Amino acid sequence: METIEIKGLKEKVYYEKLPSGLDVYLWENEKSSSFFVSLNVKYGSIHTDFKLEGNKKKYSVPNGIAHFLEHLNFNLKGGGSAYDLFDKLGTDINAFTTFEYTSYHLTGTNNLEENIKYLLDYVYTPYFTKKLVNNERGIILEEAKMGLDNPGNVFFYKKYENTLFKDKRNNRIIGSLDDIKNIAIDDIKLVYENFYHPENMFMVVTGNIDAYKSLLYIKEQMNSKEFKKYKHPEVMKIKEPNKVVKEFEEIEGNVEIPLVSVCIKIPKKKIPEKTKNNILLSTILKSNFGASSEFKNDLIEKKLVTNLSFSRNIVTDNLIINIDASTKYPEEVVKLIREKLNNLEITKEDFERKKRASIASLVFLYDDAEEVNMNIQDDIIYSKDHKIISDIKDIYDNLEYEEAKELLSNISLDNISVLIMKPKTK
Amino acid sequence: MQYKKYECDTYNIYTIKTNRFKSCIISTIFRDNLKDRNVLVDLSMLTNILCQNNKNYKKHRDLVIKTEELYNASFYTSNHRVGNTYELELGTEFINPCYVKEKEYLDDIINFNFDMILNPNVENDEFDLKTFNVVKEKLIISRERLHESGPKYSIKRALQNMDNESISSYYFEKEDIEKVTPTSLYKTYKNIINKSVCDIYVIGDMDMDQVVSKIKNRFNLKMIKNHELDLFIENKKYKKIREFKEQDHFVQANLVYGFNVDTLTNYEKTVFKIFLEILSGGMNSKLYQKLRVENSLCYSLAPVYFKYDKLLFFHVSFDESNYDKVVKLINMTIKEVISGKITEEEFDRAKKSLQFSAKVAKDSINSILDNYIFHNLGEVSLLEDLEKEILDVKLEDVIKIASKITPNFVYLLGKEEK
Repeated sequence: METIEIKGLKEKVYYEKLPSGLDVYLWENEKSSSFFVSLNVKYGSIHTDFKLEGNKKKYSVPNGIAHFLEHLNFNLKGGGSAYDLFDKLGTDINAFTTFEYTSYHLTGTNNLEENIKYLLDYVYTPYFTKKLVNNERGIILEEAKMGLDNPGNVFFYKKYENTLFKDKRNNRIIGSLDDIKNIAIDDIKLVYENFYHPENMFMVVTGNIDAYKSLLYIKEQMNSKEFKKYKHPEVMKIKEPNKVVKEFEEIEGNVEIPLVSVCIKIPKKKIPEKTKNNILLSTILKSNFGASSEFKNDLIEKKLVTNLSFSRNIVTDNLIINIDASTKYPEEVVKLIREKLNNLEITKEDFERKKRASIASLVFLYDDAEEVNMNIQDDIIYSKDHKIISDIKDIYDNLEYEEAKELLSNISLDNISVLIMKPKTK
Repeated sequence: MQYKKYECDTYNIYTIKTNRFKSCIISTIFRDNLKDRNVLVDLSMLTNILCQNNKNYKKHRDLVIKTEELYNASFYTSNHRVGNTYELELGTEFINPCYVKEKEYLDDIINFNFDMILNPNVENDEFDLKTFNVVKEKLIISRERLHESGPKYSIKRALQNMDNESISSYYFEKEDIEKVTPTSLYKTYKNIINKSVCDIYVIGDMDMDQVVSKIKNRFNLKMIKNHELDLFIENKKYKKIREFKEQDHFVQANLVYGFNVDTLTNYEKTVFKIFLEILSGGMNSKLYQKLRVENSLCYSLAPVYFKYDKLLFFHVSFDESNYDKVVKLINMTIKEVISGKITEEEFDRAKKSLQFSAKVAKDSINSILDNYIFHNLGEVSLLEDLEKEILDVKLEDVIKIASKITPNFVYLLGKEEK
């Protein structure tokens, strides 16, 4: 068992790669009353086109299949669902699917070993029938319609649609209503057989646990299972053009006041993908569009916006920055955001204060089993080398104001897609 | 966890010492009987305006900068109607002073917290007009945006159809907000500070005697307030279930099924929790099984229990063509429970689930705080006792409690015709 020291925060994460290929991460907190366990598959909604080792055939499955499979995998052979197993233990279970991965997780307060056994058993024992697929289809269709009734959700996906040409993030994670209607049992089986393999998965166990004993138990359970040879599915690489799909679009939606988004697409090579650069960029955005920025303050005081927020996501070969607002004056606000993007700034004082505040937040993080678990998942999925970022505090400590200034001078923010959602005309 | 009460002249301080968390909270709560429903508009305005700025931090960004300087401390405000009473909470969450090198950090936090509460951005007995207008606009828009969410909007309309006169159905609108002025708002603020019952809660791993002494030095109230609070609301019951139907723009139909709940004893309150869990808590509950698992009619189902209004609702979104089927299945399920169709397995599952919730709540600083607040209102047991109380509940009592709910209405927000 390898010990990963989280430098400067007096925390340790234990790690081991099991013979089956499953990566296991563990974090102990004896003060916690509960534990959080996640079993994660590096298969998300964007992985719909792939090839298998030694086979030239290109497979293509419908959008929404990762999420459909996540639902279906709760069914047990012989009837019933995974809930039947965990309810007896008084454990809460759930799952979620993102663009990049699928996570099956549980929160429990006792019988850690049984919880781990049941989690591994149900995720690694698929049971798919046509009847179950059809039952689940009805439920998922209702879930998808809930999304269509949520204008924020509609707006979110429309932004990706207008920014990305080929990247699969321009489709809903759940798929369209037609996608859901068209998903077939064979597609589900194909995905499960090739991606739900320990070599493509990782487990994270956090909270009130004994790391050593837990790992031994996970090993024992995994050793009792048989897995077919991993076929190393290769997800088809996408060459996403640098330009945006639509520079401007105005749509109507079920909103009471308009939403606007200024979405900037930046080729990743312009900002090398390093943790430090991500933090610097977040600090710059916070300083210019966050709660302490003059800009946001002015827009709110002048009643031009009721809210202004920003987000930053890495999407295949590009970095996407969104500046979103709810406003009665969409055109004017878009103009002001554009102007601001041409005049980004950060003072040394602001930089140092935000740096110190962020370090304090790192201390808070290691209080909560679920949050630590999610943070480890984020590192494995999103960090450049897919490993735990163990020197995060050092990175913050060593951030220099001049580096932020340099990054500011290097980024170009002129590749923009603007989306406005206005209330439907009655 | 060590709970302690410190009686001060004009308020009480309740402390919870625990080394479970790296953060601490100081929360000040003002509560009183709700004599006039318009106070709810003022409370919402106050909740927004008091965390926007104050006399020392005149702009919101100045306040944010101050909290960043205090190691990302956060000042928060909230308001709730608790039955026939209101509650205004103002608090600061901050990093445990042991992680900070500045020795005066705790003093700084206490000063900051009470400065935010006692020193609002007021001139000549009225709130700063600019801030007032920002907050007013924000509140008007938040009211309008309720119409963007099918579940939220349907619950609002269901309550208004149930009884427009009841305080339970009161949702203030733009016209109500328009009536508030910077002067009237400041008057309400002063009334709340001076006349309502005040309690302070502190949670964290600190020397509580020292914290209490610092708070006493910083926070003085002039009037003694220990009047009785009258929590519960009696909503009208009906012999026959009423059906309301409206239409709107949503893709899915939204159904709200409402029930009156009888007055419950302390033991019955625990029994009722188990009853609700059996009915609608999680995938293996009776309603989930009937609607989602067996009939694929919906994705989720939400029970909403307004304990102090003695009202219970179930909200579910689904395809409108299934309306009759959904209502029939809910009726059938409730009848089953009332007639005693609860298995030992269902009973055991519900108990375990509630024990789990009580245990897991101990990992959340806010849940522990909330539990202690409502415990002091005489309404819930401390988390430590709750687990045992759940174990003591008998199945026959759960069956009996089912008859304590009376159907009131079924409300459907359907899809409007094009």
